[in-house]
Amino acid sequence: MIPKYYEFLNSVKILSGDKALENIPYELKQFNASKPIILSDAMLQKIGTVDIVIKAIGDQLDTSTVFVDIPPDSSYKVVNAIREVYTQNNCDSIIAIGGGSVIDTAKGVRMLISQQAEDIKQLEGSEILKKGIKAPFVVVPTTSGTGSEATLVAVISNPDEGTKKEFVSYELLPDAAVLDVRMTETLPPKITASTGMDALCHALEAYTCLQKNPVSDAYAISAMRLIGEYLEKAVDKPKDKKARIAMANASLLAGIAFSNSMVGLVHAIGHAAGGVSHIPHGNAMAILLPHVMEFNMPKCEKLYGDVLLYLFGPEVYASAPAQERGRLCVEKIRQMLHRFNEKCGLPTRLRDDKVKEIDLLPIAEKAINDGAIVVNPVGATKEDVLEILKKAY
Amino acid sequence: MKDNKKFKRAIARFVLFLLGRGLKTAYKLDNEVREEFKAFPDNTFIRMNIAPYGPALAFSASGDRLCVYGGKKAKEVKPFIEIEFKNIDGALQVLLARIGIAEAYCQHRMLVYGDLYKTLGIIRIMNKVENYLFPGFIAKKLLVKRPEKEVSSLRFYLKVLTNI
Ligand SMILES: NC(=O)c1ccc[n+]([C@@H]2O[C@H](COP(=O)([O-])OP(=O)(O)OC[C@H]3O[C@@H](n4cnc5c(N)ncnc54)[C@H](O)[C@@H]3O)[C@@H](O)[C@H]2O)c1
Ligand SMILES: [Fe+2]
Repeated sequence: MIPKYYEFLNSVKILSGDKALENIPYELKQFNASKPIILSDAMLQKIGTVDIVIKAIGDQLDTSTVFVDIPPDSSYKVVNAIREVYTQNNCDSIIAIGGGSVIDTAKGVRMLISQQAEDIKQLEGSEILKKGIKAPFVVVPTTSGTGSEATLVAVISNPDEGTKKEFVSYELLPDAAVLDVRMTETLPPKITASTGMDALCHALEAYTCLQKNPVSDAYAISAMRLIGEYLEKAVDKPKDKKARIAMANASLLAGIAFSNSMVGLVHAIGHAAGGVSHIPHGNAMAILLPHVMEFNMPKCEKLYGDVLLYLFGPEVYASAPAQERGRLCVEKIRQMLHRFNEKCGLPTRLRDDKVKEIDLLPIAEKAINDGAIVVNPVGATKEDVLEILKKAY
Repeated sequence: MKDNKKFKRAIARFVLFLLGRGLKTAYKLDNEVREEFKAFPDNTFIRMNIAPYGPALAFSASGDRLCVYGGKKAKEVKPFIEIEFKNIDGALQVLLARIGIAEAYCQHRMLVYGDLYKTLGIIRIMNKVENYLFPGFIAKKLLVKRPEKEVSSLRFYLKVLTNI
C-alpha cells in the first residue's frame, strides 16, 4: 500500500563490523573536529567499554574530556550540565557510547549546542529546529534496542513534571553510527532480551502503524528477519559475535524504520510507564506488546500475519491458514517471552517489575498525551489504555 | 499563480472562522472539551497558523468563555503552543476535510512549537469539533476513532450559526 503522501530521511552514515571503532577518528576529521566530548555511563566505564573506544581512537583525537555521570533515562538537568562541560573544555564534537539513556542525553546536548540554547526547555516541539551550528556527532550503541543512533527522536525526562518528553527533529540525527561487537558482547542476557524486544517493537509498530510507507517497511522487515533469527541466540550465547552484530544491525534498521514511520500504542503506554513507575523501557515493551497486538487485532490481523513470516520463518507461516496467522503471531511472541522469562528473568507482567497497581491510572492519563498514540491504527481512549494495563498487570 | 494562493487563503480564513465558532460552541456545550482546556494555563493562547502569510486562529480559555482571535489579532499573541502548517496547500487538505489530523501529522504537514504532550489535548479537542461539524460519513473517514457527542450536531450547528 502506498500512502497518499510520505516523507523519508536517514542521513546517518553506518559503520558496521570488524574494527569499526578504529574508523571514528577518520569520520570526525572529515568534519575538521579534533576534540570530542566523550559521553557514557558509570557502568560502561567500570567494565572497560569506554576504554576500548578510547584505545581504538589512539592519539588521533584529544580524548581528555570524558563525562560518565549519566543516569538511566536522560534528564533536562544532566543535558544542561553537560553543555557547560562541553563549552568549558572547548570541545568541538560529541562521541556517545552507551544505550538509549546515554545516546538521548547526547542528542539533547547536541541540540543545545547546535541551536545555541542554554536550557533544553526552550527547544520543545516537533520539526522546528533550523540547521544550526555544527557539532559533529558520532554514536556508538552498547545495547541493541533503542536504535536511537539512527532516529530523529530523543526521549528526555523532565524531572519536575515526572514526564518523559519527546523531541522530534532531523537535527537530532547523528552523523555516524558505529556498530562493533566489542560494545555489546558484555550485555547481560536479561538486558539483551529486554532491549531486543524494544527493537522488535520499533520494527513491528513501524510496520503496522498509520505512518508506514514502502521505504520504512523495507527497513522494518529486514529488522524483523534479523531479530527472528538472532535475538534468542544472542540471549543464549552472549559472546556469539554473529548474533551480536546481527542484533546491532537489527536495532539500527528498526530505528531507521520508526524514525520515519513512528511507533504506536506500545510505546505510548511504555513511555508513560517509564515516566510514572521507572520500569526499564525494554521491559515495558516486552510486557505490553502482546496485549496491544490483541487490542489492534481488528485492524492489523493481516499485517501481523506478515510479521509471523518475518519473525518465525516460512515453515511456521505456511503451517497456518491465512486467517489464523495474525493470532498465531501473537501466540508465538508470547511463547518467546516465556522462554526469556525462564532463561533470564525477563518479566512478563507489570507487577513483576516496578509498576504498582496505583500507578495504572496515572500511566493511562499520561499515555493518551503521548504523540505515538496518534498513529496507532486503532484509536485508544484512556479507558482502553487502562483495560490494557490491567491485563498486563 | 499568486492570486490562486490568495484565493486559497481566503477559503482558509473562512474555514478557520467556522472552526473558531465551533471551538467556542464546543467549549460551551461539551464537558469533555472544557475539561481538556484545563490542561493549559489560564489566559495562554493556542494558535494555529499557516506559513508563511497566515491566516491564523488563536484561542484562549478563561472561566466559562473561550476567547477566539482571527486576523491580525491572532498573529500578535504570544502562543503557549503553536501548530503551524508548512504551507497553505497542506493546511487546506485538513481544513477542507480531505485528511484528518492524524493523517496530516503522518504526512509531516505541520510543525509544533511547545510541549508536545499538551498538543495531544488540542488534537482531541479538534477531533471533537470536527465530529460535530462534519457529516457522519466524512467524520468517519477523518477520525481514527469517533469521539462521543454530548449534544446533537443540529443543536451544535444552531449555536455555531447564531453565536449566542
Ligand atoms: N531516541 C529514541 O529513538 C529512543 C527509542 C527507544 C528508547 N529510547 C530511550 O532509551 C532509554 C533506554 O535505553 P536502553 O534500553 O538502551 O538502556 P540504557 O541505556 O538505560 O541501559 C540499560 C543498562 O544497561 C547498561 N549497559 C548498557 N550497555 C551495556 C553493555 N554493553 N554491557 C553491560 N551493560 C550495559 C547501562 O549501564 C544501564 O545500566 C530510555 O530512556 C528510552 O526512553 C529512546
Ligand atoms: Fe523504544
